Amino acid sequence: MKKLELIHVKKTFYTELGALNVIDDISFDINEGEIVAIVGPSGAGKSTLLNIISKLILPTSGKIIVDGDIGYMFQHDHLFNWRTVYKNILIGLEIKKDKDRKKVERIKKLLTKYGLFEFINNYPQELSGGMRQRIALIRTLATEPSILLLDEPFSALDYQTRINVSNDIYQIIKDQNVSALLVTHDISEAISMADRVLVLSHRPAKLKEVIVINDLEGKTPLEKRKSTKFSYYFDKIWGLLNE
Amino acid sequence: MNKSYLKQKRALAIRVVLIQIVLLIVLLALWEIASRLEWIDSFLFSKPTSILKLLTNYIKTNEIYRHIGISVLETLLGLFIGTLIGLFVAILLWWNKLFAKVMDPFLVVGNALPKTALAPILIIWAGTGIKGITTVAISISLILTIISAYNYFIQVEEEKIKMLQSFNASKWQILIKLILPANIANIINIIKINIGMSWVGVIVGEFIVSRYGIGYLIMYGSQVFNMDLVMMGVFVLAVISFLMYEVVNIIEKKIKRKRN
Repeated sequence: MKKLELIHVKKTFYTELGALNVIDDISFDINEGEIVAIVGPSGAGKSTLLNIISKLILPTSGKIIVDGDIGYMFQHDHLFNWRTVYKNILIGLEIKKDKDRKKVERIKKLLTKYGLFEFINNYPQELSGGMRQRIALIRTLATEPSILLLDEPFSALDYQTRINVSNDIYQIIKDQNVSALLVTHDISEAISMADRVLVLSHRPAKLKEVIVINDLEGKTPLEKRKSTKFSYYFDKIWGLLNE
Repeated sequence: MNKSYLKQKRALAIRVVLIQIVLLIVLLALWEIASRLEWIDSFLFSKPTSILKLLTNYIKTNEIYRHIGISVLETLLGLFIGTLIGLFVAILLWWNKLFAKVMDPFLVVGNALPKTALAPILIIWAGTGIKGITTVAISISLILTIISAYNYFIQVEEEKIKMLQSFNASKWQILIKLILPANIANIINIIKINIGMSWVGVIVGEFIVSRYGIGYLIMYGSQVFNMDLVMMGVFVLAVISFLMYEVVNIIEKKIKRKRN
């Protein structure tokens, strides 16, 4: 079942300097439970693509079909330091005025499962970056989105934390069986987490190639990184990005 | 290790306060001596003991409370009304970009204009007494409150707003769940600044027309060349504005503690 579908999406920005063609005819889709990564040279239009999918800006032409709600996760956790962890997590339900006992129970279960329950009365500034990013994910999952948009969600973390947190977040996403679109400039991260990697060209962004990653040994991103085929994919994507 | 560090920190704090007290006493003593030995003209410069004597008289006759009461009332009214209207307008500016753009030059001019120049007109328009003086106090803090609050509001990270929008938050929800709580500390700072502003307005207003108040005492004292009275007015003013500032400081500390 398709959770997200982009059909011939184009985007042109009009500025004082003239028309700027940012996205040139991109089509792809994401199935239920699938993680798709987008890599591309910086300035290629990755953020624009996410903004279009999340309906913050309109495409110039083309269609976006989303089945269900979108959850957005950013580079920074954007937890509010005047709210406790628990209150931060509830903010989405609070805004949607959708806080019922069943949803709260589900959130509490998620928190317990991922070892965060004991911190619910702490303030975010008392916790580590990795923990904060996990809490941000639970906040996003609280409103039960069917597709997650992950916008460089680990790039503000240090290397070691980054690998650990991407491992955990991968587990959470797969456990909850949500679909995800991961935008990253880290090729290893894309290969270790995604089922498919979309490689974008320089601006105006086109889909250069879709690489299906299906034969890495290991279940977690950390294990996949040790797989012998890992470097094959790395070299392939590296080559495409540097063409 | 930590204990001795804390001890050291405390010792330093106590030392600072001690030096401050000694400094104050030395200055007051010098003033008194200079005045008594006629190094300075005590008629023009007054001296601490005669100021204190006058103050005790004013306290004994309860006269002082009437003056303090009315000035404090005017200042608090000016502070609250000025801050509230200022924050409200800042919210409107944040809400509507067009309105903000339209208002921009007016605010710039309004800010550059010395508001005390408007005081006589404002008093004629609003009437003498509490109304007129409070209006002057409001006029002094209002524009600056609007400008600084608006600038704080638009500095809230764009991505935080985006995060709330991803939950389909309305503009109102973004305001009350993000913009205002994120700026509590800044709003307290604005209030701190406005205490001083409001006092300026009240004293200027009382200079122009009044029968009571600390500004009246100072003005009256200078007109009859009673420097003891002028100095007493200034002294009382200093003590009260310090106390008001401290009250806000305590509230600020309470909020900060709650957040950490």
